Amino acid sequence: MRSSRFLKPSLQKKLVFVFSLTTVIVLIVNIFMYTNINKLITRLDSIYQSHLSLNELEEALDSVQNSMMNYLSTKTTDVMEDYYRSEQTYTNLISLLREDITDDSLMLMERNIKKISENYLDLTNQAIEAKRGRNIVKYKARSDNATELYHYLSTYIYSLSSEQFKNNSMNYSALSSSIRSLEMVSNILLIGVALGNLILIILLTQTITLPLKKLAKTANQVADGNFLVKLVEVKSEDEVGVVTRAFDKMVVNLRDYIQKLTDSMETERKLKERELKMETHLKDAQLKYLLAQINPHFLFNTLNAGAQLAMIEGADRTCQYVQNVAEFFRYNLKENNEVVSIADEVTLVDNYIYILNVRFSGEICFEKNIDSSVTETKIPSMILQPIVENSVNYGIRDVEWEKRITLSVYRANGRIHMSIKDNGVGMPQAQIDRILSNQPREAALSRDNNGIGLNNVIGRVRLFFGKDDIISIISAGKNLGTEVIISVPERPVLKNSSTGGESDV
Amino acid sequence: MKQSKHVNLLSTIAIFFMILIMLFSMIVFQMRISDTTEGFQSKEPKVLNEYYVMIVDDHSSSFWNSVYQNAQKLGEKSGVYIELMGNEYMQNYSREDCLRIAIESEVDGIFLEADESSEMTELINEAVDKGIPVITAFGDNSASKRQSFVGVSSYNLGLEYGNQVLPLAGAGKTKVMILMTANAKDSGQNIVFSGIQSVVSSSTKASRIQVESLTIDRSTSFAVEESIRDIFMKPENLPDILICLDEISTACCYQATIDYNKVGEVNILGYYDSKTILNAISREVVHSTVSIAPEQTASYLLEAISEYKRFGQVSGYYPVDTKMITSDNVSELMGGEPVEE
Repeated sequence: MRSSRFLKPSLQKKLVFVFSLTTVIVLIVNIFMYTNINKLITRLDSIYQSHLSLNELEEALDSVQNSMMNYLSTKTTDVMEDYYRSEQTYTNLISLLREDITDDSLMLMERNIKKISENYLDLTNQAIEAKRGRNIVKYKARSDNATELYHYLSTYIYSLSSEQFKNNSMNYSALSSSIRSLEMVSNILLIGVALGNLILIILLTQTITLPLKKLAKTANQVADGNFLVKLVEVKSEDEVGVVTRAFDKMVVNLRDYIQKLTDSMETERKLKERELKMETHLKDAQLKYLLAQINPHFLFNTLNAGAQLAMIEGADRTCQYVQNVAEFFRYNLKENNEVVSIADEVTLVDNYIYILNVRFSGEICFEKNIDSSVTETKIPSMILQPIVENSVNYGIRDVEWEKRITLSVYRANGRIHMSIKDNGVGMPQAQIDRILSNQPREAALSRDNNGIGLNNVIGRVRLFFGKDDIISIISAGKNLGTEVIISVPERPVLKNSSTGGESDV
Repeated sequence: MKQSKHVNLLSTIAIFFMILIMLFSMIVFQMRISDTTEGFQSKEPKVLNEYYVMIVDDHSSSFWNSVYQNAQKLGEKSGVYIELMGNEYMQNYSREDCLRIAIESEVDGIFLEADESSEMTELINEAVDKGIPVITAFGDNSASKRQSFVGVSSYNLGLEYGNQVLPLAGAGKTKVMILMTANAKDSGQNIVFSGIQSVVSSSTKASRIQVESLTIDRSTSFAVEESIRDIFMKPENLPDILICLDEISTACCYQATIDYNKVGEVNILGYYDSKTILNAISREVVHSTVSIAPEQTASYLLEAISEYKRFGQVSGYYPVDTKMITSDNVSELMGGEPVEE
C-alpha cells in the first residue's frame, strides 16, 4: 500500500530520502548541464582552433616583407638572418592552413592564402638570392612581384579575418542567446526543484509535528487527570510512532493501575464499614444495656450484699434469686465479651428465665435441649437472651395457656443450630419478612425489654458471620407460636482479624 | 488514514513534479545546445575536386551574378567550386589584379570577362602556361592563348541594333549615339559599332542617320552615370537614339530620360534583360533591349572548360543566343508580372 510506504520508514530514512532525492536531482541536472556546456565549448574550441591566429600570420608576413626589403636595401647579415627567421616562421604558419577545395569560402580563402604565400616566398627567396648574386634586374623584378603578392596577401588575410570575425560574431550571438536561455531554464529548474523540495519538507515535517502535537494534547489531558482519553492513533512506524505507542501503553497501564487501586480501596472501605457497623451495633447494645442498668457494678455489688444478707438470715431462696439477678447483670460487665461460647449464652438465658419465673411465679415453662459437644462454639455475645426476651415480651406474655419456651442447640447438616421456640401468639409472615429484612422497628424499645432489639441481634449475627442466611424465623400461624433458628457454621470464619484475635481470650 | 493518503499523494506529486521539471529542462537544454552548435557551422564543408574562379569587370551586375549562380549550381553537380572574384574586400582590384591572384592561388580554371589589352594577354598566357585553362566570356582577348570564348558575336549584335535603329529613324536627321563603356582596348564594342554602321550605311536612310560613338572611361568610379547625365544636360548634343552596350549604362540612360523629361524624345536601345530594364520597356521608356540567357552562358563556360580538360582542346567559340526584346514581347519575359510603378 502506498500510504504506508511513506509512513513506515524512520524519520532518519525519510529525511535522508528527501534530501538525497533533491541533491541527486540537482546533481544530475548539473552534471547534465556542465557536460553539455562542455560539449558546446569543445565544439566552439574546435571551430576556433582551426582558424589559426591571423594576426600572427599577418605579422609574420609583414616581417618577411620588411626584412626582405631591408635586406635588398642594406644587404646586412643581420637583416638576412631576420629574413630567414621570419621566412621560417611564416612557412610554419602557412603550413597550418588547410588547402582542401571545399564549398566553404573561408576554407578556400585559407587555401588561396597558402598558395599565394608559397609563391610569394618563392619570389622573396629568389629576390634575396639575386641580391646576393648582385643580379640587379632580377632582384628588382622579383621584389616588385613579391610586393605585389604581399599586397594581395594582406588583403586576403584581412578579408579572411573579417569574415571570421563576422562568423564569430554570429557564433557569439548564438552562444550568448543560448546561454541566456540556458540561464532561464536553469532558473526555472531551480525554482521548480526548490518548490518541490519545500512541499516535501512541509509534508515531512507535518508527518512529524502533527502526531507530536496530538500526543502533546493527549499528554496534557492525562496530566490534568483525565485517564479516559482516547488513545492516540499510531500511523507511522517512525520514531514518533514509537513514542506514541509507548505513551499509549503508559496510559493504558495507568488506567489499569488506577482501576486496581480503586477496587482495593473499595474493598478496604467495605471492610472498614463492616467493622464500624459491628462496633456501632455492639456499642449500641451496650449503651442501651447501660442505660437500663445504671452503674451495674454498684448494682451487682449491692445485689451480692443482699445475697449474703439473705444467706445470713437463712433465706436460701432469696439468696439464690439475688445471686441469679447478680449473675445476669454481671454478664455484661465482663471485659472483652464480644465473642463468647454458646454455653455462656445458655447460662445467661437460664439466669433470665429464673428471674422471670421468680417475678411471674414460675408461669414460664422453660425447656432446654443442649448438645453439649457444641457448646464451646464461639458466637457473638448477647444473642440468645434478647431473642428469648423477645419471645417472652411478644410471644407468650398475654396468652391464657401454659407459656412454654424451648431452647435447643444441636448439630445438623454440618452446622450448629440454636433454636428458641415459644408457643405464643405467633407472627404473621409480613412481620417476619420485615424483621429479616432488618428494617428498624418503630417503638423499638418497649417498656419492659432489656433494650436490645431483635434487629440488632440479626444485624450483628449477619455481620459476624458475613452471611445473610444465618437467622430464620418460623411461625405456623396465629397462636401457633414462633421459632427463631440461628444456624452458624461449625467453625465460624472470622472475617475481622481483630475480633478473631479477641475471640481467643 | 485519510490524512496520510493526502500526504502521500502530495509527496508523490511533488516528487513527480521535480522529476518532470528536471526532464523538461534537460530536454529544453539539450535542444538549445544542439541548436546553438548547429548554428556555429551549418554543416561540414563539402570537399570538391576543382576550384574555378570567375573574373568579371562589374561583379555587381545582375547579368554576371545570374551567370555566376547558374555556373555555381552546375559546377556543384560535377564537384567544382566556382568563386566570383572581387568580394567586398577586393572591390578595388582590377581584373588584372584578380587574374594575378588567381594565377598565384593556382586555381584549376579561370572564367574571364577579358579585354584586348596586352597586359591581360600576358596574364592569360601566364595562366595558360602554368596549366590553368582560361575561358573568356563576353569580352575576348583573341591575342592570348585562352582556351575558348563564350559570348555573343559582337558583329551580329551590331546588326541587330542596326535593324532596330532603322525603323526608329524618322524623315529628318537622326542622330544615333553608341555609348562605348568598355575601354578602347575592347574590340568587342567596336565590332558592335561596325555592325550598326554596316546596317545603317546599307539602308536608304543612310544619309539621314548619323552614327557616332561616345567612349566613357570606366576606370574611375561613377564615371558612367556622370557621363550619361552630361549628355542629357546638353540638349543640343542629345541624340535621337541612344544605344547602350552594357547593363549599367542602360539603367542610367533610362533614369536620366525620366529625370530630364525626355521620354519619347530619346529612344534607348538597351542591353540585357534585368528587371529594371524590362520594366522600362513595358513603360516604353526604353525601346528595346538584348536578352542574353545566363543559363546558357554558364553551361557553355563549364562545358568549354571540362571539354578542354578532358580532350586537351576545345572549340574556340561558343556563341550565346541573343534575343531582341521590345514592348511587343516584354510581357512574355516578365512572366505576366504586374508592371512596377
